[in-house]
Amino acid sequence: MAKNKDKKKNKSAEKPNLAVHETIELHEVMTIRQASLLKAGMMESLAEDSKLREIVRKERKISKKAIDEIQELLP
Amino acid sequence: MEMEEMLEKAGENRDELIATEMLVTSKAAVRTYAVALTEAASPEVRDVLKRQLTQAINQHARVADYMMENGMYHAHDVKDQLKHDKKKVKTVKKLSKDKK
Repeated sequence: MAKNKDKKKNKSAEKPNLAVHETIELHEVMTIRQASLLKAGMMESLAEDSKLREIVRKERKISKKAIDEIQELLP
Repeated sequence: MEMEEMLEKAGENRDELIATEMLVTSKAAVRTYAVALTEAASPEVRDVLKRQLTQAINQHARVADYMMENGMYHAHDVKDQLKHDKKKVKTVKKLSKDKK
C-alpha cells in the first residue's frame, strides 16, 4: 500500500519522457484549449439565457482543468 | 472587429452567436483530441487525452442539444438549416459592417 502511494506520488511529480510527435500534439491540444478558455471567459457574462451561461461556464472550467493537466505532462 | 464588441451589439441574436461559437469550438476540440490520441506513445498522455476527449464529446452534445432545443440548429433538416444559415449570415454581415 505504502509502496503504491509512493509510486503514485512519483508519477505526478516526475514528468513523463515524451516523444516528439506526442509533444507537438499536446501543444496543439493545449492551444485549442487556451483559445476556448479565453473565448468562454469573454462570453460568459454576455450570455443572456441562464442555461447557455451554464454551458459556457462549464466550458471555461473544463478548459482550465484540461490545460493544468496537460501542463503537468509537458516538459 | 473584436468578438466582444460584436456580441455586445448582437441584441436578440447574441445567444445564438455565442452558442454557434461554442459548437464550432467543441467540434474542433473533439477532432484535435482524436488526432492527438493517435500520436500518443506514453500511457500517461493517452490516459489524460482519453479522459479529456470524453469530456469534449459530452460538451459538444450539450451545446448541440441546447441549440436544437432552441431552434438554433436544425440538424435533422438540411433545407431548414440552410435557410437559417442565410438569415444568420445576413445578421453577421450587418453586425460587422456597422462599425466602419
